[in-house]
Amino acid sequence: MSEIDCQRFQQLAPEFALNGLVGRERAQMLSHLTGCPTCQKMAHDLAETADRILELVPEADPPAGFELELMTTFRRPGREYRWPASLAAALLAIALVLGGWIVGRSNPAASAPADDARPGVRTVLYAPLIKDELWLGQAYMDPDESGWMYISLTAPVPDTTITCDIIRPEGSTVRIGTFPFTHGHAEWGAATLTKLDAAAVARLSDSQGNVIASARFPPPEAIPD
Amino acid sequence: MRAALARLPAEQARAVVMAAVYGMTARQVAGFEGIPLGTAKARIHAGLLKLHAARLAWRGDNE
Repeated sequence: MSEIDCQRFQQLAPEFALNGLVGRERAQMLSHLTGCPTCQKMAHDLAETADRILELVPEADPPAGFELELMTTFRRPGREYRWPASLAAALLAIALVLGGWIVGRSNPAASAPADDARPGVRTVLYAPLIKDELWLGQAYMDPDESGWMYISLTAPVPDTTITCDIIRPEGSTVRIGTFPFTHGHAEWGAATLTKLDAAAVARLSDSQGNVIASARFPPPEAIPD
Repeated sequence: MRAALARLPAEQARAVVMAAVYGMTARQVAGFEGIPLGTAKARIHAGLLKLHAARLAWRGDNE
């Protein structure tokens, strides 16, 4: 097996850190690492950065269709997405991680995303939608002020218009928006435009004011090592 | 990290997320995006290095 030098290692290091190398190239990289502390440190540091990206993904998988719904809601006008549906799972990952970015770019008032992402902090929150201890769907929220919320709800109630409110711990309420609920199901996403740094409840009410379901979000917190 | 991702060119951010979150190789990213393999490699390379630089800068500012 031919050797590679530090320059070649550094060219391939990002792919190596992302586990994107296979076969001979990977073997050459591993061989080089055994005798080169400088490249060992580089590989270790890049792998740490790659791990940080994973922390942006929520702890539960959204439902099928989430990714296309979110992209449709937040994509920039005029931009065409030609990604095949067979790779929807990858699109989902991208939507989850970049959802805040897409909102920020489509909203002139929030063109510069807040630089407050902190290592070890989960930036997309998940909570089940519950009514009388019944699981009715899922809610996802990016708690930054340029963040977004996504709702997937299935409930045995007549067609209606649902209002989504966020209730802060001290009792204040922020109206996020309304969406149609038809045939027992709805998928909906919207920009929240409010920063949430503590536990909060998303409340879904029908047009008569009856609560359909609630999701209790945990506070953003550090992920245990 | 999300702020750093937001500053990347969109095509680099997509490539890095596909590789880091979904475990796609450069060849798979290339097929997914309909771009040459070399372009996919370049996007992954540039994207991850920029994120790494941003993380080091953030760490430097906060230590």
